Amino acid sequence: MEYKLLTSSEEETMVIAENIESEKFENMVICLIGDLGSGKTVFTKGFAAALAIEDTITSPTFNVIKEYTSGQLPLYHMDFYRLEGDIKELGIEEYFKKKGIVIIEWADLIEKHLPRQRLEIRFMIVDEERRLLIIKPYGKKYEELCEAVL
Amino acid sequence: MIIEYDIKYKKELLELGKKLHDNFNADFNEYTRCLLYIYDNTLVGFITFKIMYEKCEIEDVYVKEDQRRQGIGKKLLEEVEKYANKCENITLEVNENNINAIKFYESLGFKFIAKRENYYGKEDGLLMEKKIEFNVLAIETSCDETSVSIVRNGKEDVGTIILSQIDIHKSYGGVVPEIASRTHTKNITIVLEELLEKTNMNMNDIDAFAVTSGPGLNGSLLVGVEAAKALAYIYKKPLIPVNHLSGHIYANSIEHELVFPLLVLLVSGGHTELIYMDKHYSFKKLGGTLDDSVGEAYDKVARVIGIPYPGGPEIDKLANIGKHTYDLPIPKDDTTNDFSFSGIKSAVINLVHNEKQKGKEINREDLCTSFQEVVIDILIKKTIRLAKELNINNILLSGGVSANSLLRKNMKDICDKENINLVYPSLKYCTDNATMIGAAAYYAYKENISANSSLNTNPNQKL
Amino acid sequence: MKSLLIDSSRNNKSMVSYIKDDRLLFTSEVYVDKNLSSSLLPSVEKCLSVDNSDISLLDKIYVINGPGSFTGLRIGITIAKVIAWSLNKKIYTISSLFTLSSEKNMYDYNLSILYDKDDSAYFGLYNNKTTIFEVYSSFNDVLGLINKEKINTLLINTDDDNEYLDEFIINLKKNINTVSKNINPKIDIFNIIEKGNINGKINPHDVNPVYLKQIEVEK
Repeated sequence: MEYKLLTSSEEETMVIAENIESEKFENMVICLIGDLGSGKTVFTKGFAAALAIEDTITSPTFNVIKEYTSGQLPLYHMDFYRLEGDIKELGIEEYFKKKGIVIIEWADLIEKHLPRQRLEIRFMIVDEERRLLIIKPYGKKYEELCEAVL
Repeated sequence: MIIEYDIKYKKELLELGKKLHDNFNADFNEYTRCLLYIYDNTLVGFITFKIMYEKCEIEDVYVKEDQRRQGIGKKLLEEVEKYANKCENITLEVNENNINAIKFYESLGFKFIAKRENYYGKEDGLLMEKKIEFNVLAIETSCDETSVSIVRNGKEDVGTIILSQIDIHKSYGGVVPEIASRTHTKNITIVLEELLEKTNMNMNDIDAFAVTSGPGLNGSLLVGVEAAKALAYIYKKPLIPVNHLSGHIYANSIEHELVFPLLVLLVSGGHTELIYMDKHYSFKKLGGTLDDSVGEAYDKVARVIGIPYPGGPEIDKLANIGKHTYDLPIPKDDTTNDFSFSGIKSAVINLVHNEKQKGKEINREDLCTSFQEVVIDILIKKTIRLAKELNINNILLSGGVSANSLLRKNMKDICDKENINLVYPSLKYCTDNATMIGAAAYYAYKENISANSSLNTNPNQKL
Repeated sequence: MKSLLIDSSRNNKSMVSYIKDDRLLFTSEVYVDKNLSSSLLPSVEKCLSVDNSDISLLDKIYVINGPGSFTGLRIGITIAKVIAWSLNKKIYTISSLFTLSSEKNMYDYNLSILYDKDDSAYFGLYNNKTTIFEVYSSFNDVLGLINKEKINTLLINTDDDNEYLDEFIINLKKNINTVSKNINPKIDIFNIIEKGNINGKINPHDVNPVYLKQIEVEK
């Protein structure tokens, strides 16, 4: 079951993120897939704002993993844009059990390491302002979340 | 044994003290202090001294005649040095004719610096000084470089070892957190040993241990933090946790004197911030990037153009050859102190895409020049504007991107014109290293920042 | 003779034990939630303070070098390495798999199982104190390895019951007379120490976590 949403601005993308945040739970994993500039970090900003995280969410491309603990739940923001090749051990498994929320940008690059149950969002650039978000839940918890929110 | 002044020895102390001068008194407080040497429940020697900010002055030293030549005076002075470890020097006056005393102080590292005429009535006094050497062994493992260093007094690089993992991660395109952590674990004792060999020092020469506690990759930070904690515990020395970003800022203090108030432009792969400092180790963030850091923008653009990791320095090189022929939008050219580089990243991507559609070839050098000029310009523009607004005459560049040739050149030109002092680190101190951590640690320690064995990493640490 | 044993390989619990003259003087256990880093070194300190001793007086250092929690192992091994290097001593290492089978028993062979994902686990097969093998494998594949040995009685030591375990035991019983399972086995620290002595001491520079799993990248 896929959900398709069209947004015409960054604000609209952030609203979708906030809505998803309202049904958050511990150890939730959200995978963001899309090209450079398609809105993945914008989505994360919206989500973080809803979590009441005071810090500015910036791109984790360079740092690979950024941790934010000032919100209602810890947020682990990851980005595997820079990685290539088939890596057997990334070092992120422990983050899925830390009772926070894990958001992974460029998750398609590390498919083998993703947990079976997760929420996958694909961002497609329609034109300069508009994005098409394709949301796919994997696992019951995420299916229920989508039904409730979208 | 040496103890701090205890009133039960007051009578004995006054007896001994009056042998030195009639108006000797036992009024001590937080500035004027006294240490007693007790042997067999008897007062055998004492030392009085003053500590005010960075100055420590010895007032009186006395050892009972029948107890001399046993090293008691030396022990008392060494103990005072521990109290004075946040000072820059210890001074004392000695009668120019007191050859024994002069020789004694010289043997402990004191040097003559000035004469005080008629200080002792008809005789002159000699002002002697011993500079305090505070050696910090610093460990930095926040990302993909295992580095250790010994830094003296926050500025002297006694020796540094950097074991970079760039080659290891290169084949993966970027840092793999697990591999970074494993490599740190593998290297940590090796680099420590190399450091001691290189500097010809041993752990007993170290006055404190410092470590980057954050920000960075948790698995990487852990190795350095645990190692530093263990060392501090084994050698019973203070442990100073240092923020990696303050390390970048203090990389400048190795070669320059920091003058306050100052404005820092911190630019690296992971950070782009404007920070205000009105004195040592006091940081106020006034602006920063809202999305990508400058270094990241460089990396992403490099990827788009087809330059391998790490792309930043390569773009800088190519930019020096090309011309500004492509039209790119100036990122967030407004009156705020914040930056935004995700827009220009998108612009470059769109440009490359469009040119490809038209069947045109991208001139790499020209694209690098166009990108770099726009990005460096806005960095400089906002920094200078903020400095002028706040009436600050000192600007400091820090972070990996401060190695950028255009940033250094253009910022220097503008600062010269505007009569602003500009300071930036030598290339070797711009990227991650433990030397800058050792330098920052000195100032952190002066601000009484220290930790114990339960120090934890803080991957999201702020200044 | 003062010895320290550090085991930080588990995901839920870490342990530092202090042994003096063949007596277990103190064990400090840390229940790991997220702050192993804050508590492991303080545990070491606690052990030494109970004996009123100084770390510099330590004679031997033992550390469990894996497999197990990546983060846990890193913390324990870094501490062990730095202490050993500072004191100019070598380190004795023991596998976490051995610790599960450390308690003395009358079985020919002991098999330790540390679960990982789905149907894969870390396996360690021991005949008294001799290590036959230590691998990361699927339950199916390891059967082949086990059957290479001539085993009469086998005790399986593992932390938890697992859906694959019973089926696995049925398969084992095809070639082995007696197979029993021992859930949540007791740890015998002295046997662990002895195993460490048998394994021999290693230069701290060369001590690193043993992962058993492959991490190699194929491009």
